[in-house]
Amino acid sequence: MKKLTIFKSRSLALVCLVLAFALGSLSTFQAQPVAAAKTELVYGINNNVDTLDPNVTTFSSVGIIMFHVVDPLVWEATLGKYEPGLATEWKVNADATEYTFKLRQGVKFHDGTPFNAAAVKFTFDRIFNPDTKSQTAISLLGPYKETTVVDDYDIVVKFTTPFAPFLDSLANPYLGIVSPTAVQKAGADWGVKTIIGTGPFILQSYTPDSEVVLTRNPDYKWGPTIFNHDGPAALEKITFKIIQEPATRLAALESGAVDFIDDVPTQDVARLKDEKKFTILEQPQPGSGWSLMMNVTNPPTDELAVRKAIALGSDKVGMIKTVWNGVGEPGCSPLTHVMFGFDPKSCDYLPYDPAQAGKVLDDAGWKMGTDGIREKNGKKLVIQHYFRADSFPGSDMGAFMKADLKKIGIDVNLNGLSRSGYFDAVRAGKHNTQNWWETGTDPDAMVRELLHSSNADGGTNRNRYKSPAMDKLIDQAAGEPNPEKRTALYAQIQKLEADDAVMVFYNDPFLLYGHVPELTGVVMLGGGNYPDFYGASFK
Amino acid sequence: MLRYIVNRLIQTIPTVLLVSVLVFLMLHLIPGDPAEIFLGEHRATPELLAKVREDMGLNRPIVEQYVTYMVNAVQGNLGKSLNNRRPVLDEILTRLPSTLELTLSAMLISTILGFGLGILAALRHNTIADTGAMFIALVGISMPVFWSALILITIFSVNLKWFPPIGQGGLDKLVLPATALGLLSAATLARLVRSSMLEVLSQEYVTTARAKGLRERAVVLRHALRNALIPVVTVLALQFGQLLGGAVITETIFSRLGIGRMYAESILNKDFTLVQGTTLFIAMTYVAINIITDIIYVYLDPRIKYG
Repeated sequence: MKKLTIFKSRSLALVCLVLAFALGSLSTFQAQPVAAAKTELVYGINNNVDTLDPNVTTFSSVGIIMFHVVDPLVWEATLGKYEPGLATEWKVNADATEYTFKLRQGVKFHDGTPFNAAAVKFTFDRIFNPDTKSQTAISLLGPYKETTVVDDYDIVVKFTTPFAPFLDSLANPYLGIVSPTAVQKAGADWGVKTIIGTGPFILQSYTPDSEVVLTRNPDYKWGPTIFNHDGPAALEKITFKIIQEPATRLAALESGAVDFIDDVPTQDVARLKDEKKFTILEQPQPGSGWSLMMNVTNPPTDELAVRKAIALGSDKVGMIKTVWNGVGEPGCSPLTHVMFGFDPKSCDYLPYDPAQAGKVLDDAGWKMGTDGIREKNGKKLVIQHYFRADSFPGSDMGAFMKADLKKIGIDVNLNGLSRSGYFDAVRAGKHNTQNWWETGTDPDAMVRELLHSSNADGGTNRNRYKSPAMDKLIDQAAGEPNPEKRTALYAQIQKLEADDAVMVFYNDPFLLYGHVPELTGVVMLGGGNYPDFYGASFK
Repeated sequence: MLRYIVNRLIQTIPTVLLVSVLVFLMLHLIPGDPAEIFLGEHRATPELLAKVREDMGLNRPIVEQYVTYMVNAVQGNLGKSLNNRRPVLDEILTRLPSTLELTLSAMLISTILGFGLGILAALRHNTIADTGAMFIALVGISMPVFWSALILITIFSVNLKWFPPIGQGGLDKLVLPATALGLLSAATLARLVRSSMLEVLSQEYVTTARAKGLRERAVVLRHALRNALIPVVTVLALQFGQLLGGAVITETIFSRLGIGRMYAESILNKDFTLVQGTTLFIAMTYVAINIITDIIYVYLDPRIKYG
């Protein structure tokens, strides 16, 4: 029996050690109160930070964070509806090339610098300067020419060509106004350690790959009405914790480590809604939903009847259920349902109707073959679909599409490629079909990249669709400052797109946010892209 | 001994050079354009692409790019990350403590568990304890790290709320990732310790030791275990490499700020300079561990001599 004693004492020691380890950590964890008179919010954010500089970044996560630190000239809570921000009034000239702004007085940056016309000019000129290496912001400035300072609180922003999307651009965090003195003083620290704006929160610290901490700006008193809140924010501190792994992000919310998360995994949405422990927000995504581009230059998708049949024969509801666990609503046009300019009538243009799809093909001479695939003049109706096999949801959408179109006698050949192989193929126009998805808040960018002929030769218009009538409508809409007239132009664009059956719009997806039920007063900016906590508090 | 160490150090130079060339070539030969990745799919106009390639030095001949890189590397300058423009060495050094903390505690856990289970199984050979311990080891080997990590989070963070699922700094935040990471190598280790111990325990000198009337504790610890350790130490060194690999997954899942997660991201971003720098760094770590292992051999087994 002696043999065993050594083991007993060893294992006992081992158990003690493990227990001590566990208990020791237990006490440290529980010593931190989870919920006590909360004025601090922890946000588990899904994407990393490239730079904190909102005028330079390409990351929407930086937009979410920095919208609390910088203020825009105008706010936009509902897409297409603008409210005074750092600009109190504005005028647009008849061809949308000149915007005149009256600026708010008595506003101070976090470093004490007064906000004025010079700061606005400095911000825009800095973005426009190629040395700044601005990404998102510079594209939002469009055909920017210059900013003229009239006096301390009056400016004129000029464009080389008509640019109606400018107000929408301004309502983004990326054109938020920064302190000129602070940019110069910070030097290389700008965007890494320092960002000075006029917003309700002040950047306190940034730990790369880990977290960004903001604290309340006690002097803030120029908040817009859209938040239903006055004066300094109710929250004292917001910590943005970067948690890229979706399952961990959700676990962080469920364990109480964070109060708010974005990008809730779709497969958990049904369970979370059932359990009712957390508030789940399904926010329709602005931009262009998941769709199918059809190359109008390659047979057989060069034939209108074939494209029309594909559009009519695509079961969008089924695809949303299969691919996205039911999260989203069937798409209708290049613009998602929340976009300014979206025309609800577009949902009736090419509704799901497989019988009609079959008839369109019959009428065009595509007769059903014995193997269930249609043919005309001895040629099978086969389309080459290209997709990225290395990222969601390319493969899932392709697989569904293949089964779906088989029902109306179209054979889909699936060409799944890696990123670079895929881009080489679709830019060269080898495809019949490929998928698209895009986020954005102004309709011009969406229809332009998908339908304008200037993007048709290897650019983003991989429909390779060229229509002088369409180009004219898109350019006209981009230069139309009157919202009603602009809406009417986008309605025509959506009609023409459906008449030519250029694309199939599958899913206008939802942005998914989850938070603890005690949190109230969160306002969604940028059509749901930017949750804003200026007016938020814990019950 | 000193001469041996110096010799070993000199021998590492070709290894490190070879690694650097291989990594450099691999990254340049696989398709995908870092300039395009830097700009993003929608913004990559030909003019912007050309400009970014110029800025990144991607237009220069590949040999020139490599030589420039190595000359700087020898001087301690590993270049700047293509993505965020921070110095690569700073990026590595700021994340090193976190990864060391994780891998060393994982190693501690795997050693305690591995030796515990292994010795138990060997001493109670062919009993239910042996079968039980080896069954646990089998489960441990079969569980992928990401899965055991998520299971640990579900049980201990979401349901029991004992440990936070994310973050670092503080023992509480270390327990789950270190356990998840440690489990895998603990299982391997347990099997190895068991078979190694079994072999040694059947040796005549163990019988002799027992016959001398030595206490069982001394027999097992001084005579058996020390001899059984030699193959185990080799594996421990290899396990350290495995743990560094596992750190990529563990750090991503637990949102820890470590070299592993940075490495994975830099590969996805095609951040050439960061991948190269980190690979070199990891290669050096391996080399160092191997040298240390060789030195430990000498201590463990007096029969091994180095000239």
